Amino acid sequence: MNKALNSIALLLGFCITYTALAQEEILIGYIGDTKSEARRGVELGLQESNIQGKFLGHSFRILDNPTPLQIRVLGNLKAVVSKKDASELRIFATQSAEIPIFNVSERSEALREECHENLLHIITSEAMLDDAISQWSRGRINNSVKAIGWHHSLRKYAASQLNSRYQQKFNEPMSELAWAGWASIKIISDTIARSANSDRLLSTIKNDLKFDGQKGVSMSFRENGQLRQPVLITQNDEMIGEIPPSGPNTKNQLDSLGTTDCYK
Amino acid sequence: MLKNLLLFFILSNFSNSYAASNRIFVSNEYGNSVTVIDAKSNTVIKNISVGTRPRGIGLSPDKTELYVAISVDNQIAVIDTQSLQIVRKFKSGDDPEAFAVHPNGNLYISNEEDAKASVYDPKTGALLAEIEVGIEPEGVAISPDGKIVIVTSESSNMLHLISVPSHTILRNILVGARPRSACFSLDGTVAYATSEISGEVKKIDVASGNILGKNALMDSSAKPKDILLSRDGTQLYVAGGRANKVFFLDANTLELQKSIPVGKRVWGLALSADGRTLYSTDGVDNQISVIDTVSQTRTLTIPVGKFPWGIVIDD
Repeated sequence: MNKALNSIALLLGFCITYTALAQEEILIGYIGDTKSEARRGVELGLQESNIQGKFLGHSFRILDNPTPLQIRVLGNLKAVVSKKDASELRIFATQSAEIPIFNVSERSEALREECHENLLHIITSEAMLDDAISQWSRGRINNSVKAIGWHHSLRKYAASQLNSRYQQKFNEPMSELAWAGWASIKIISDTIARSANSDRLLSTIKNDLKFDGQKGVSMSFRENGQLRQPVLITQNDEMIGEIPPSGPNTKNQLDSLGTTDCYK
Repeated sequence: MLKNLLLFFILSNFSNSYAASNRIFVSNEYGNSVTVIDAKSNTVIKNISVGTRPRGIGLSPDKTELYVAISVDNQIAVIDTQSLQIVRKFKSGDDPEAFAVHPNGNLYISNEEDAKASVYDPKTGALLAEIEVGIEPEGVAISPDGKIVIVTSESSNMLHLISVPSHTILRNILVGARPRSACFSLDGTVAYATSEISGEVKKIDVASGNILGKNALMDSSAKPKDILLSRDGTQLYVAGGRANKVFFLDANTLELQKSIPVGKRVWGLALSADGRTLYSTDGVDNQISVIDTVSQTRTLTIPVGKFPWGIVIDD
């Protein structure tokens, strides 16, 4: 009797140890065109997350275009990265309300104002870009500049290292969509690495994030789900400035770009 | 008594044969040079052209040689601290950024673009070991007994604790976003690390890897880089980056004791042997600041080359 109990205890102990040592594979869904630059950014993010994961006992895998059923039933599918437009995102957000969905391509301001609890907008919105242009143009002669969330000519803040990793891997410059794909995976994996309980992923990401998007500031989410970030100003495909301007107050000025309110 | 006397003779012999040059060395990232300053008169003696993008800088244990990581040239330049001539250069792996000199003389180098740390013998230029670490490795710190090396990986947000001489990874510790620099307590049981993007200093128990405490630097603009321990081990000096300040923290509680305004984008720090004088590199202002650690005030600034990065003192 005692012997049998001992064996069970041993077996149980073995199982517990085994589970603790085994790498837990975490799935991240990607919905959208798998040939897009956003998907390539996701791939770079995945590679980097698995380097971090290698040291911490996590591994990550992308599941391309999972079905709604897969998203609901796969317990180790923790988040979804989406390259879909606003109408599809609205439906999707409602269908999969319990899972964080990272929007990497849709700039609609209305979608942000609707404040879907589980939609996280990594890409900059239309209004953020417009506000950046108007702040930049203050006191300047209007000189055909463009605003963008990421640019391949950004060098500061270790952006040059990220740009060169992407360029080397895919033989093309890193666009904002590619950056948003990369950033989504890094936010997901770094938060999971820090959390004892990955079931609270959405609230941890929304409330406690201090993300290094290699744009020089600590990034977090607005209540409406938009990622706070500086916007880059370019001219003739070269970066000429940042809004808000880089300085001691950058962090406090990030909410001057785009809307922060909800109109539910 | 006899033993003490003997020790005294040995020590005095050492200091005789390796008289300190009393020079401060500053790497100028975009000046492609090293500025040499006389530490007594605080005047610039020489600017040495070293190659493209010099960053990490350090002295050999006997202080006769200065090592400078030349990031774009993928080399370490070796400068004689007396003659101030470049005596040799050796290949150091891709994009060397920062390094630390082990008490045994070897260099532990972070290779930023390779996600690797490498170990070199600077006398022969031989590569002794390579260690895979996280993405964008930067800061390197060596425990006082030489048994543990910490490498920070900036884009993987980790400290890697590496065992010497086996060069295996003992532990990986997640810290705040973009860890840039680390240092040890005097007894080596505690490590401190700065995280630039999360703007904080963390205190870590080396044996367990547990985080013992953290200090969010109060100043929301703080983007800390270099961190040094005072000679008596009671205070930490932190370069505040874009906050344009050097912070003095209590090494035990991490409480902020003093903020000292310096020049713009302060990254590098060096401390005199007697612990009285702290130097900072103020990158955007092309200068170094000289801080009296007792009165806790900045006493002087000295113009150097373009974008000073690292600083080391031979006194």
